[in-house]
Amino acid sequence: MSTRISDLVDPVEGRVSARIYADEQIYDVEMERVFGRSWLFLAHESMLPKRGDYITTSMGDDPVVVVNRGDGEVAAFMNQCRHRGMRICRADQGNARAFTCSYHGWVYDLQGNLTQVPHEDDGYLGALDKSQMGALRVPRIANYRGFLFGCWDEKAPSFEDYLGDMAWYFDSFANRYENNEILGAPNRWTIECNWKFPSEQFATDVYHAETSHISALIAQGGDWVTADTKGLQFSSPGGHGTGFYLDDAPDMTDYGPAARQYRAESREREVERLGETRAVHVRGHNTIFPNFSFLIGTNTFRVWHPRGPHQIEVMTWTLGDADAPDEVKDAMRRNALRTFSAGGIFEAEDGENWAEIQDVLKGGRARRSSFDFTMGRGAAGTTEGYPGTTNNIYSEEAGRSFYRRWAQLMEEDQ
Amino acid sequence: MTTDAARPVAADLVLHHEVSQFLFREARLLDTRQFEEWLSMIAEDVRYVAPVRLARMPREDRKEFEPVGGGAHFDENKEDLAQRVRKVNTGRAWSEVPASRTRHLVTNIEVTAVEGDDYHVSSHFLLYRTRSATYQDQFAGARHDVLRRRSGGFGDLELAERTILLDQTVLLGNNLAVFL
Ligand code: FES
Ligand SMILES: [Fe+2]
Repeated sequence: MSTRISDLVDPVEGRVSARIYADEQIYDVEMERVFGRSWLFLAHESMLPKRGDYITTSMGDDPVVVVNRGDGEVAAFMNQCRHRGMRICRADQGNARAFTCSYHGWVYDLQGNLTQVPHEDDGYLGALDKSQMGALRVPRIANYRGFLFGCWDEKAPSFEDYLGDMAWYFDSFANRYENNEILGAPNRWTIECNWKFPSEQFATDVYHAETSHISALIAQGGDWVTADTKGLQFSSPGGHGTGFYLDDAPDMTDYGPAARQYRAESREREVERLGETRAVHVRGHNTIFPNFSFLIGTNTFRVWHPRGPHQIEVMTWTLGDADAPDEVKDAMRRNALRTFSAGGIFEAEDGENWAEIQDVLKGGRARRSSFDFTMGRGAAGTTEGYPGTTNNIYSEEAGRSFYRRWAQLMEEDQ
Repeated sequence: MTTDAARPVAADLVLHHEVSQFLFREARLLDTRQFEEWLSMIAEDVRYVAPVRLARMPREDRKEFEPVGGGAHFDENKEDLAQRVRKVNTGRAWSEVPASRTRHLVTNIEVTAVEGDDYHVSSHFLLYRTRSATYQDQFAGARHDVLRRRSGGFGDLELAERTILLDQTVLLGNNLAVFL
């Protein structure tokens, strides 16, 4: 690439070139260097309870199959036949004993090994080494509290090291309930925007909420934070970020009376599991670099799958407390849907903003502009009781870290 | 979702006309953004659901749509719908500012069952939507509605149940900030 990444991203000064969101060449490099080396969310183990249960998803823009192998392990492999590249699995989810390619009939087992080839003897004259022709395996899979992440890079750090201090914050979501359960199949939709807009927003940006989401806040009639409400943002050298309020976290949710009562009781258990600080305060917006985000409180988590520089496919799920009564689970599920899904009263405005920015970036002069990330610059520090680097919630510390990490990966040769 | 194979009942012409007029009026109110009026057509105990659709292999066909209580685009009661109307009426619901221009085309209307004051009605819809200068999206699908007679007078029906079966599995649109 003729342009140096360091000319495009300046995390110290807090400037990011608009080009990084709209340039095809940059996109190609980031698929290889960012998505090729990062840990990417695959599935939650509760989505695949039985042997042969599978879902199809993506790692970056590559389709993958994630399967329960039946031996307590999960396999993930590229959804691409080694013969001519046909998709091996063509459903969104289901249960299979094997995957048969619909082009010439090659058969792959639950681990992606090639097991049967039509006309192996008279066609290939027995010369096809099936052991070398399995679907491209995701070589590394980590199971973190039931959340399965995969990584193409054999040399990448372990998932725990990759998370670093973010693990403490992620636990506030992943370890809040004794048992997690995913409440239903994901909502999926497309947004005409670059994947970095939503990823960055969930890492660093509570700032937008009062403006972007004012209509939903009014419609809900709930209390919202006042000017005196204090909060913190955590930023990570790994590019992860989270922001949350230090007051008893404002609950944007309304789960209904039965659920509210259950949630009130379950808070005691949450405090026991997570400690007061996390149970009560660390309940905000979060991104695990590069494209896995979650909101505690509304219990949604999502992957922003890149689909070229100008489009994403969103997959969002609702996390539920597996031990809650059905009525409560249902209230949590419905609440997540009506706030944060394609039809969610909060979600809609975010996509609107990202898509409009992307549309502006069709302009050549617009692409040469740079965006401002100076909020809270120079004010990062530490806060007793909170791991890692922190800053005011109204800062863009985590945004600067997100792009610092992005630039590092983009510049490093393998 | 059981009504797909149902034959139309021998609804008389007047009933069929009444049901059709109800759906057409609803479409007009939505497309002219008379959302309060639209709400007045909805029963207090309404259930408004759009289950998530999945691509499935043939032997798992029957699991194509998420069950009640599973993944959904909408699973709303009257207050949820009213909340959406309040939201859009703030004038600051940016995903609808400036407003979308929408066209609800409702066709293939069949009365599939009559149970007392309840009419089970199946129909198809195409929602065309355009906003800004060039943006457009389209959602097509089936609706399975239960329309309930309120008073006995012609046309005095309410929407008591709606199940929306969208054709897309991955919705091709930036959001669903419109009513289906
Ligand atoms: S492409 Fe799969 S068998 Fe030929
Ligand atoms: Fe938002």
